[in-house]
Amino acid sequence: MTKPILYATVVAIALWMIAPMLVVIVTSFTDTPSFNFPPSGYSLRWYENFFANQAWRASFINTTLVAALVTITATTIGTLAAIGLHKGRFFGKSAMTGLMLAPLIVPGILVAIGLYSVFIQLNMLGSLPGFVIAHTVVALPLVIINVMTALSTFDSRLEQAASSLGAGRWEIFRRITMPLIMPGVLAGAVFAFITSFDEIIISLFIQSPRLQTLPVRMFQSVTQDTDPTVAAVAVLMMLVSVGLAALTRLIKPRSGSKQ
Amino acid sequence: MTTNNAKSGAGMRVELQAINKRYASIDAVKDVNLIIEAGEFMTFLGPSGSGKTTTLNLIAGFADLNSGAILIGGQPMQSVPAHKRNLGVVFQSYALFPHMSVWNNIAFPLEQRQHSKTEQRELISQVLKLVELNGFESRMPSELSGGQQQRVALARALVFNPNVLLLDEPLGALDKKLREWLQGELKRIHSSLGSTFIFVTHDQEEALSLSDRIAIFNRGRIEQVGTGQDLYERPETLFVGQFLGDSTILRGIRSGESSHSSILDFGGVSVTAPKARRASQNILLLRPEKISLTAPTGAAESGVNRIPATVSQRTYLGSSWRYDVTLGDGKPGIVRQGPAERMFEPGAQVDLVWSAADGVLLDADDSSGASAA
Repeated sequence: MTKPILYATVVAIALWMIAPMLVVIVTSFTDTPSFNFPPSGYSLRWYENFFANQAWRASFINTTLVAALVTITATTIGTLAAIGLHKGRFFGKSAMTGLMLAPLIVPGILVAIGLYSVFIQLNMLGSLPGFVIAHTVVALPLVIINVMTALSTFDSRLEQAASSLGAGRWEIFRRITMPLIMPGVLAGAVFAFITSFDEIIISLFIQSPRLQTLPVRMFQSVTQDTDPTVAAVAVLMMLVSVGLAALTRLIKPRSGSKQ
Repeated sequence: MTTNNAKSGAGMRVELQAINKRYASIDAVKDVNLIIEAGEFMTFLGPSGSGKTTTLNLIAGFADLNSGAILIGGQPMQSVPAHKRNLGVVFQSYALFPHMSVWNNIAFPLEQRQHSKTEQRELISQVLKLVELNGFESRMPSELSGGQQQRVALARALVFNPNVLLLDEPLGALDKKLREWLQGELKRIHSSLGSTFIFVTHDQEEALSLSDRIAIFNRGRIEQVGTGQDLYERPETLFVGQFLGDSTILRGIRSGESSHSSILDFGGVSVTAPKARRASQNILLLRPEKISLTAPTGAAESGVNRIPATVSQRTYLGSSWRYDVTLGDGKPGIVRQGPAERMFEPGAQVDLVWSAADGVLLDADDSSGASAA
């Protein structure tokens, strides 16, 4: 294949991948209450509408709160799990690893139905703990993978060295292991936040009018009427996700000149 | 370093009592008994997989014994975890903390021991002087060369005045020139501190130049312990004789005894050896500098052995010539001759001549085949 053909193919594929985003971004600036593309005129009214509308604001705050709590639970549990899976020598270790990473592969709808049938009995539908627990299930594997990757490049002789120098287990973890796997932990935390932030399948099942996350409210809005506020919200969500993902790029190459 | 830091010189005695370590079904260390005296420079020398590093890890507390006991300063270490043993460890891979500066790396053991900031400053600047790295305090490990990193590792392992310093092939990853220079540094540091050094290496020259005594490891056991001279001149096993230095091996049949010597038959030639201690000793080991080459004359003198050989190669070594010869049974031999001696060309028929007292009589060794050096 010659270079121009290769180049053209790459551009075509790139366009194909970002085209939906471009459509949504352009649509969010329309001046008419419809999803016409391309729009006949441009305005910021749908962004205004988002910030002015009490219901949209409430679900944005809910989503952010859920995602923040999920980040804390998933990062804590996931980091500890990854360390246990990396260091532990126990029976059924690989089965345990597979089980913890399963939510990545198992269809979301299956997890959703499972959680729904349990939550309905426990009266947890539409509750904050319900959302945090549900989203933690799907966010956990991402933390575990990121931390395990960081651990796989971690030289365990550093821990032997630290212990020979007089550090006990907790000191070794606090002063040596944790700082060195920190980039992996932070990357996992960002993925956990983003996963919870735009989770829709499970959220649709476990939501109630008591508590709706942003994606749920967007879904309902699109199915009920043609309100371009959804496009504006989508753009805002995209900015949050892309911003956080960019942050992990900044974290990674840190050589670690601390103190 | 000799000033007010009065805690130095606190080297401790290390005792290994019948220690055993198995990994899966492999005996990594088997019934090792050894006493390392306080302040001694002891080297564990052996091929890879011989158990020397495992023994070091057991002393450090990185692995648990299957049986036996380790005593440091007379105290049993069985229930003492690695971080309470007060040992310095230097690793081949340096194992510097990559996220800490040189200063913070060296301060780490002092912080664990709750030294005040003032004490830390004093001890760190002393130890940096000792390893000649003043001015490098704020560098990160990644900004240092291999030799500098190893000296930081050494400083970090020494700064808290450990009772014993364990060094696991610390110079293995460095080039020859740097290695030789650091050997000198290690020797100087050892004599200025007086603490016990246990040094693991597979490099025999390093072992000979550094150590007070050397323990030769083979297949999880110690074959022999002694000074370099002991081991070279009086090896007790064929493995030790062949691992340390060059040698010519004569496999003969014992054909007679006198009050001071044993007679071996070597392909029809009678050879006199020092008196055997066991009936099974029928191998004669000769060091290359103990043998001289002469033209074949056949004239017998008492107390002098003489066997025929053919020169296969001659190599100039600067201060001497090395001759590789082929013995009557086709086996190789090595002879070192001074520059003033008569020279022989490859292919020449010669006699190897040595004094009967210079041979070392040994048992046939079941492990020699695997590890001839």
